[in-house]
Amino acid sequence: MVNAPTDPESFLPLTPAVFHVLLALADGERHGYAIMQEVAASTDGQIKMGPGTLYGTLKRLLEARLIAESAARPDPALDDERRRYYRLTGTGEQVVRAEAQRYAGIVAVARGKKLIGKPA
Amino acid sequence: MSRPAPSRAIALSEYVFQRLLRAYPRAHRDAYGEAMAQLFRDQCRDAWAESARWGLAKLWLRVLPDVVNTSIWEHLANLNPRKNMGNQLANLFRFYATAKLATFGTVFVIVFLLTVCVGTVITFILPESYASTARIKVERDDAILAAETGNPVAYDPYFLQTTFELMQSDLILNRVITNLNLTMVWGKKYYGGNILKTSEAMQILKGRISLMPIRNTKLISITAYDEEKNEAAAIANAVAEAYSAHRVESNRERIAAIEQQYQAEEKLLQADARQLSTNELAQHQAAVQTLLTKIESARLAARMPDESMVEIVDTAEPGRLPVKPNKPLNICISAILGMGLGTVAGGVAVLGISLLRRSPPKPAV
Repeated sequence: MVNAPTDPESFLPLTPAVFHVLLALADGERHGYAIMQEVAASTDGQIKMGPGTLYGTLKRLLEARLIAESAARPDPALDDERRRYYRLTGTGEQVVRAEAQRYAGIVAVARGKKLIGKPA
Repeated sequence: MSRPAPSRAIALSEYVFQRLLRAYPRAHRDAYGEAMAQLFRDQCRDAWAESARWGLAKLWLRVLPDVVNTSIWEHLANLNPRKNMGNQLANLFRFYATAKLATFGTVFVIVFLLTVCVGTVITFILPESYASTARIKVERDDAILAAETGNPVAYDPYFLQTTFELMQSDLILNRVITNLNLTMVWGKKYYGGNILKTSEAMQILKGRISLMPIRNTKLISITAYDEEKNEAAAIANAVAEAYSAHRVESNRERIAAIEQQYQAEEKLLQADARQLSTNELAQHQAAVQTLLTKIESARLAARMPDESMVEIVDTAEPGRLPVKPNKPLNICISAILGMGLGTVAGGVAVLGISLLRRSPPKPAV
């Protein structure tokens, strides 16, 4: 088990896959398939994670304690009870916020240089 | 989810994916193998709902590189930096052996299956062709006479070769085209009903017949190929008949020519008999005698049945099964080619791993 650093900045910059997985979990706990669907939806289908990438990323996030496996299991009548749910940890939330801030800073710089327009 | 999920296609994909999971380290497989398989199953259903088999194919195109990349990644991540140098080297060796084997196996199987599938599909798409063979026995004209008169004739080493060339010549094949009306038949079949020129039909016909001598005999086999079994048989028989008719006609023309020559010589002899010297008269008489012998011989040959010169030993019958494409052979060749290509592609992939060994990637988090 890897001891997680307490400073969220030490994790940055995140890889796109990690950032998208953390973003997908920002709304609440999800299982692997739901994470994959959320990532695909939030990127307009540009990022479609394969099983290897998704679970490799989840494994590393678990080891870094940025996410945790939820003890809750779905109602067997509603979903497959074997599904494993994941949620953001406190550190994970800080890290994804920090990364989002970092991106926001980059976007502000790009906007200042008129590389991108202002949001509608 | 508008389409019914075909359990077989998805089940097969799941089975292959389960096999591919072996490329991952055991610990990773134990922890996430089931979840990965479940995710893949869900993706298969989505892909099928999206665009059926094409959707599954697109999914595989995404998943296969993902499996190769992430399995290598997981093996690299398994290397524990806290272990001593001996353990690290052993781990490295185990990793590369496993990764190489897994990568080689994966790439080999994919390339092999792709090649066999493509080969099989092409084999089944190719138009079928039937073959029919007629066999003829050919004799030299003078050989017939020799048999009749008992006089030996010299061996002609060029006879069979000449016969071959003659049978493939425009002279014979024009008869075949006319007799079978191939300009119209093939025009309808291949050119939307436009009547072909004889030269065009000739070109097609020449590509569809094959002549073979049968060793140590006077037999020649004439094989014709066509998409229709009856037409293949008709072409082979028509070539045999056209050659036979040509030989009979040639013999008749030869007799007529000798007879003309004889009549001219005899007329000359009667007109100038008084003015010729004894020697000249003797020479003319000898010439007339020779011509008479020739005429007698030619007539004798003409009296022989036509089959004596060219005998159609076996008429061509429509084949029961197509000879082209040879499906089992083509699939075997595809399999052999697939093994070769798979080995090469697997080797290239393993080489890629060796290059990665020099600069292992850093962990993502």
